[in-house]
Amino acid sequence: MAIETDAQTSPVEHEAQETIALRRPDVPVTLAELAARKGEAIEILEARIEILRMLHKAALRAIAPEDVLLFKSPDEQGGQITGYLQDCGAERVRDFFGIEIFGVSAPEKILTNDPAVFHYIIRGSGRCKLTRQTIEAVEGGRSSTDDFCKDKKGAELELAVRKAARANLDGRIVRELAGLSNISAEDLRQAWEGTSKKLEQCRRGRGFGTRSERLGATSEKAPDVDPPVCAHCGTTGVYRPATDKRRAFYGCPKWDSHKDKKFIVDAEKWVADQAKRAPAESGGTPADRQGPPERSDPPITADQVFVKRDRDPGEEG
Amino acid sequence: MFTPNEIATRIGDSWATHLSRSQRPGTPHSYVYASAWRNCDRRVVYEMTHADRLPTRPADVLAKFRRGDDRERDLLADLTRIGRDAEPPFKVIGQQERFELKDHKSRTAIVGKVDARLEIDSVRAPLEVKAWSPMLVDRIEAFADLFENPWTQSGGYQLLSYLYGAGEPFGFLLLDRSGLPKLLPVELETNLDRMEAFLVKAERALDHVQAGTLPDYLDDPGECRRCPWYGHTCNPPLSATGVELLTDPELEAALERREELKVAGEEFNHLDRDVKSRLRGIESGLAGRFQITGRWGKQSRLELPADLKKQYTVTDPKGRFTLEITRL
Repeated sequence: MAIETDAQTSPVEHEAQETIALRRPDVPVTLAELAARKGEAIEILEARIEILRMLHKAALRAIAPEDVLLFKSPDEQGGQITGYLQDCGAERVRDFFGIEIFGVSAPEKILTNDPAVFHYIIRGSGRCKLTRQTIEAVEGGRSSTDDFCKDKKGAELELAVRKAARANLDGRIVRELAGLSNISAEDLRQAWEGTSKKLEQCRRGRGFGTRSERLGATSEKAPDVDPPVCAHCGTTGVYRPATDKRRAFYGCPKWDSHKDKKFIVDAEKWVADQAKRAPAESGGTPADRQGPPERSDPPITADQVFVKRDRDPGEEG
Repeated sequence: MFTPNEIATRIGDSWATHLSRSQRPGTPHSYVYASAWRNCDRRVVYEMTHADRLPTRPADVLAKFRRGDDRERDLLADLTRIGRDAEPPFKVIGQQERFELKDHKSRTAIVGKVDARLEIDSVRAPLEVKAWSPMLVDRIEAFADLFENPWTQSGGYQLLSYLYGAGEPFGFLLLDRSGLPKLLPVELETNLDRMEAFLVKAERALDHVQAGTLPDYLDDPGECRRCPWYGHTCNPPLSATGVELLTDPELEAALERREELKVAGEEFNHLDRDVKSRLRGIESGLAGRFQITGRWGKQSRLELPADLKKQYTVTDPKGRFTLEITRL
């Protein structure tokens, strides 16, 4: 590695400039060259790692919560939450890392026995200017059965699948080269500190219960009693079924916003307490007391909404 | 019985279906539409040869087009009435007149329809009506501003081709706004280089169509991101510059120190402004342990009439630089 300097630069200054330049991860350097620098080698390596770490953080900061799909491992395996950066989000971070996509093939259609079911795959390579890493023959693909194709048919469906396959190829290359294939929830939380972005705003995927549970409904396995309310944040508790290693319990879905204050209620005990309390309290269950009062009015009809009523002159309407 | 929410949803759906039914697929054509200036030559060719392969537009976009058509009709009707009593009086004539521009090889290169013409004395100035998003219109002060934005530049080239085709030295761009519409005068002579560029682009596209070839990809990921052909028909390589890595330890130290002083600095600036605004005009005073001394001085400023100010105002596209420094 050699950097250009003018004739007036002394050898000491020249070496100092070289050391500074070597801190950049995009400047190629061999192990032998590093070893020759003895103590400075560690400093150079640390600086390179720090730059990549900051780049990673800056990229995460640029991601919007809507770009991330959260997955959760089973509770018995630790319940770790990780984020998957979707294709739309990958586009936002591509510029940070200077990722180039090249050698893109023509989309290839793969037919099945059912004419309505087909797939498109497209191949391409990628290169990161900052890490000088290259990946080749990456495949992106989408199917006509994917969610976004639901209301499409004919040529429109064909175009949509093909376009999505390319977006998937771009996304895959960026995720791989930017090291964003699997983002830990903690990294996201730290990167979003000081912004309005929150982990809770991300969409939830596998590991967060059934579809309705992910959207806020109670688990089908939950006992038929009102759940307790978290004493720390006021959020309605969520039922966690029993496993081989522990009993069923109610926990706070926003436990990570008050990690130092635990909220765990033994489900069996809670159900028993509720059963005892029910006959004594005619005023209702805890959830009833917290929720808005039920409306006793009959449901509004279309006639009531669209009826044209007479207005007095000057009356607003 | 439907709930009010269900009724609203069903009406919204029916509205979208109604608009979608009015959509017609594009047809391939051997010339460039006057409204179809594109930075990318490849896109111009695709729009000529594969016009029927563009995905259908969402109902929301169709609703915006519909609104644009409605506004154009209403504004032209208003202008017709206004022209009768205006001084000098004018007439709105020649609505939706078709025109064609030939290239150097005498081929029909650019085709369009003029929204209308304003007949004032012996002049018949072309008029183009646009009902763009208010966010876009608010940024347009002069005709040149149209070329600064990827969403409005095609409108600029469209009007220039009308002027060129009609052989008129000037025309008008009528921009719809929430208040009074804005009428921008457009001179052809000062924009002849742009018109020439459009004609050359159209000619290049026609050459490719005739030869059955495609122009090279445009190396502009931003343009590709906006392009409706990207992904399904056009699959260009994408480049990206990447962040600039600054490894100067002195700069890093300066940024660290700046961050340390930031809160104190902001507080000082706030207090300084507050104190100085309260003490303005006090030539000699005492406040607690502080002596205040002030003096008036001369200040010269140039007060120019608005039109003169505008005449001598120069806009440097890189004159302002806004920095945002965030600690990660």
